[in-house]
Amino acid sequence: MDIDSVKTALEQDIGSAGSAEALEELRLKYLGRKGLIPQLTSTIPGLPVQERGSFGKQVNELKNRIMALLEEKQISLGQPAGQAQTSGVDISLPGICQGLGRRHPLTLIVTEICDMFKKMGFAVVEGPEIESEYNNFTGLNIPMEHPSREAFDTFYLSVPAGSEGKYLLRSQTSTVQVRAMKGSKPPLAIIAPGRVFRPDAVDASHSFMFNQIEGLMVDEGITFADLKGALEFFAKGIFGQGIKMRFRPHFFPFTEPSAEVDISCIICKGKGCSVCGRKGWLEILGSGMVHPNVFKNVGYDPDKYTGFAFGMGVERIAMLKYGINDIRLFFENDLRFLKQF
Amino acid sequence: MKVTYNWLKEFVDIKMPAQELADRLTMSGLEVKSVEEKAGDFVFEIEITSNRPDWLSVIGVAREVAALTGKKTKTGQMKSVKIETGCADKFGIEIEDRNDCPFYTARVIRNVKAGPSPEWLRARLESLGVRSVNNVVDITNYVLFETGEPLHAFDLDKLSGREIVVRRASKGEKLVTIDGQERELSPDILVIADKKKTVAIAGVMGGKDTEVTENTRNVLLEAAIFEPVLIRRGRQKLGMTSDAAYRFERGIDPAGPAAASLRAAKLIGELCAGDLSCAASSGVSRMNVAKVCLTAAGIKRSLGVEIPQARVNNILAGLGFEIKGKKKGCLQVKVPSWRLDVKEEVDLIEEISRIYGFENIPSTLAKVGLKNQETAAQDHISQSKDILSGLGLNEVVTYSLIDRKSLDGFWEGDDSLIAVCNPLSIEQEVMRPVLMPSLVRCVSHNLKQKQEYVNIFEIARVYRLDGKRIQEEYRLGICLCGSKLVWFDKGRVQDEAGFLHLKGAVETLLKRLNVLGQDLRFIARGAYAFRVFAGDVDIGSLCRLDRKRLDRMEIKNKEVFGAEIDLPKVFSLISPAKKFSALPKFPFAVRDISMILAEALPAEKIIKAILAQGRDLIKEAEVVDRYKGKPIDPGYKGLTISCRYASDDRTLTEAEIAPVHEAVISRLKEEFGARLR
Repeated sequence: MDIDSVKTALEQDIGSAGSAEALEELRLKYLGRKGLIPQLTSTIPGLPVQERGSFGKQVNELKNRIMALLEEKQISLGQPAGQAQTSGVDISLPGICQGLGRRHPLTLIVTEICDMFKKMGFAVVEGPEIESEYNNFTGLNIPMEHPSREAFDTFYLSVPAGSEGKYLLRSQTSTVQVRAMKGSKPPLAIIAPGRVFRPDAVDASHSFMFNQIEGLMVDEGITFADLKGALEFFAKGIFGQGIKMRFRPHFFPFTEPSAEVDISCIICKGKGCSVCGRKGWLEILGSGMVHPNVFKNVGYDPDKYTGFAFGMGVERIAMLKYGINDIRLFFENDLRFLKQF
Repeated sequence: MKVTYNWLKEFVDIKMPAQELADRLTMSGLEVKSVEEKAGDFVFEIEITSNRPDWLSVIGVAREVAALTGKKTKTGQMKSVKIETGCADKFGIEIEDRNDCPFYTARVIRNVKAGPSPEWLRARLESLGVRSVNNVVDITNYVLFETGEPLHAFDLDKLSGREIVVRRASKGEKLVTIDGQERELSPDILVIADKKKTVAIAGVMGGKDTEVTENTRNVLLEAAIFEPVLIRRGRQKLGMTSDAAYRFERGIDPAGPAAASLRAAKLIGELCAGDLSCAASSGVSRMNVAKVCLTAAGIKRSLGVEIPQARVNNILAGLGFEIKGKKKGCLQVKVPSWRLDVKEEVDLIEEISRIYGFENIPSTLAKVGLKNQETAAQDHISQSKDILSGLGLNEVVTYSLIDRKSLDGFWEGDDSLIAVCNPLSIEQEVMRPVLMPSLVRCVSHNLKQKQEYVNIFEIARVYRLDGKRIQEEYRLGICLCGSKLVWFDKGRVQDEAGFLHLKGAVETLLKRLNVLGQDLRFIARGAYAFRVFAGDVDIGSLCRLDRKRLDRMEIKNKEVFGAEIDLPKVFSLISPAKKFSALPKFPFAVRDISMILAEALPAEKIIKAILAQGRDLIKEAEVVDRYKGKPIDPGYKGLTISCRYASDDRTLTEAEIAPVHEAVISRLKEEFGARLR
C-alpha cells in the first residue's frame, strides 16, 4: 500500500458514495482508528530518517484532502456540515458555564438612573446616613415646629446632640444638597443615591428603610425650564421615549416653585388601570427650584444663583419598571427573586 | 380634605363637569385624590399641602376655581366684618397672654331652639363624613368647613360668671372632652375657662360639661385665633386630632373669626330661632399688610419664560392680590389676609407659575461647567459589585437597623452601639455595627425556601460610636452555605462551600481592584475564624459560624461561612497605576512534583521553599492536585505542585533545569520530610 494507490481508491470511492451511511463507512475506512491513514502513519517509524519528513507531510496532505472531500460530498448529499462529527451530542442539554451572580434590582435601577444623569454632566456624590437635625430639616427650610415636618417622621439616635442639633437617621437624601453646597461653590451638578429611614409600619408599599436619589443643579441662570428638560431626558431614558409627562404644582419647603412629576402609566399607557389607580398617571418624583432660604443657609447668594433640585424613591421606580407589587421583596432577598434580574 | 361640587357652586359659577374641575384643580396644586358621586352631588377628596391652610375650606377652594376660570367669587358677606359692640348682654374676655391668643370673640345668642338639623344641613355634613349632632353644633361645623375658621359653641347657662378666660392649664388639671375622654392637662396646654373651671382645650376640643345639647337655650359662640405651635404641641402631647386643631396649627385667616362668627350667628338665627344678641372681642386680629415686590426679571430668572405683564396682573388679581402700583421697576403687590404663606417674591412667582401652567413653560437642557471628580468610593463599590457577581455571588440589600439580640456572638462592646430612640419594633433597636447577622438571617430565609446553595454578598454601611465620633463606613459581607452542582463534560460534582471559597472571592476581589502590596495573609483566630491582612493592614475576617449562632438563626445541618471586609481600608490600598509586563520571549518548561507530606503543613510554605530554591529559574509554582485518604496514611496528604521553569533571555535546556529541580526536591525532603509519590 502506498500513498498513490490510496489516492486513486479515494477518488473512486467518493464518486460512488450515494448516501450518508456510505459516507460514514468511507470515513471509517480512511480515517477510522484502523483506517488507511493511520496505517500509513504507522509505517513512518520504519522508514529511513531522511524520508520520514517528506512522507509524513504527504500523508498529512492526503488526510486533509480526504476530510475536505468527505465534507464536500456530505453537503452535496444535503446534510449540514459537521453533523457526522457531532453525532452523539445532545445539544438540547443545558450548556455548561460558570453561574454568574446578580446585582440587586435596586442597584441596577440606581446605576441606570445615575448613568442617565452622568450623561448630562452630573457627578455622583454621597452623604452620611446618620445626620444632624440641621442638615435634615432646618438647613432645608423645614422649621422645627411646623406641620410640614409631619411628612418627615424621623428616627432619632442615642448620640449626644452636636452643634447642629440632635442626631437622626436622614429621612431624605436632600441632606446631601446642604452638604454639597456647603462644601463647594457653584456651578454644581450632583446626583446623590442612598438609604433613608422613616418610622413607617412595614407593609406592601411601606418600608422603614428605603432608597432615594437626590439631584441638584446650581449656577447662574438655571431655570424651571432647565428642570423640565433634565427630568424629561431622565424619565424618557428610563421609561421609554413614548411616555408622556406632566409637572404638577406641589409644596416642598426646600423648593419654590415645586412640582410633582407624573408619567403616563406604563402599564395601561394612560387609559387607567389598577396600578395607576384608574388615573392614567404615575407619580415618580418631587422637584422644584431651590428655595432662596436654602441658598442663604449654605452661604450662596440667592440674587446671583438659581438652581433646581429633585428627589425620587428608588424602590418605587424599580416596582414600576419591573412590575413588582410588594416593597418587602427587595429586603427579603429570596434568591428566586434576586435571580430574576 | 373634602368639599363638594354643589357647595363650591354657591361661591363661584362653575360651567365645567365635576371630573374636569377635579383635573384642573389637580394641575394647579390641589391634588384631587378622588371624586365620588353622592346624592346628586360630587364629593372631592383633596390633598392640601401644609403651606396652604387657606385651601382648607369650601371658600378657599372656590377662590382657586375662580382664579383658574377667570370668574369672581361670591363671598360678599364674608368681607371684613366688624364685631358689633356696645350692647348690654356683653361678655368679658380675659386673655392671659396675647402671644398665645392674639384675638378672641365671644358672641351671645339667646333663646335658641336646639334640636335636629334640617335635612340639607345633615346631608351636607354627612357627605363630608361628619356626623350630625344637633342644629347648633352642626352649624358651627358647617361654617368651619365653609370658611376654614373653627368655631365652638358653649351652653351659656353652664358657664359660671360672665367672663371667658384664655389661659394655660394648671398642672394636673383634668377635663372631660366632648368625646367622653378624661384628659390630664399641663401648663404647656392652652385652655378656655370660665370664672370657676376649665371648659375647653383651646383650638382642639370643647369640654363635655358645657357642650350644646338639645336642652340648650342660650349659646356662647367662640371664634378666635390661637398660636399655631402651641396648639400643635398641645394636641400632640394629648394624642388628639381634630378638624379645628388641624386648621389652627396651620394658620387662620386673621379676617376669619369675625366673619365666621357672624355667618354662624345668622344661620343660628335662621335655623334655631336664636336672638342675635351682641358680641365681644378682645385682642387684635393682625392683618397682613405687607406688600411684596415683584419684577418681570425675577419671573424670567426663575421660570425661564417671559410672561406678559397683563397676564401676570390678571393671575394675581384672580387670586385676590392687589397691585398697588410700581416702584423702581418693582410691582407692589398687596397680599390678601388669608395668604399667610406669601412673604417674598418667589412666593408670588410660584403663584404665577401655577396658574400660568407648568405645561406652558418650555423644556431646555442646561449645561454646567464640569469639575474633575476624584474617583469616589461609589466607583470602587460599583466595580466591586461587578467582580463579586462575576464570581457567582448574588447581591442582597438588608436593613441597616437590627435588634440587639441578633448581635450576640457577632459584636462585643455595647458602648459603641448607636441606638434608635423611637423604634417602631424591636427589629429597629440599634444601627448595625456588622453585616453578618443580617446576612445569616438572609441565608436562613433562603434555606427555608429550599435553596440548596446560598451565595450572597452585601455592600452597605456599618455604624458605631468611637468615643464621641460617629463612625459610618462601608463594609463588604459575604455569606456562603450549602453546595452547588458543578458540571463538566463527563458529569458533575457537588461543590461544598467552605473557607477556600471565601478566600478565593476575597483574593480575586483585591486582585481585580488592583490592590497594591497584595501579599494577602490569613491568620487563624481559633478554630472558627481567620483575620485577613493585606500587607500589614488588617482588612477583615473570615469565619465559620458556630452551632450556637446557627441554632439561633434556625439553620440546621448546614455550615455557614462568612467574610466581612473593611472597604475603606481596601480602597485606600488601590493603586490607580497598572503596569504592563512584557510577554515572555522564550518558552517555559514544566516539572511537576508529586509528594506526600504531613497533613498540617501549609501548601504556602512548600511553594515559598520551591520559589526560594528555584531562584531565578522557577517563575511560578502552583498546586495542581491535592489528595487525602487511601492509600495515603492518615495524618498525611498528597500534594502535586507544578513548577514553571523559564528565563527572560534564553530557552532553558534540560541540562540547566535538571540540577535545579533536583535541588528543589532535596530541599523539600530535608526541610519538610516530603516523600515523592
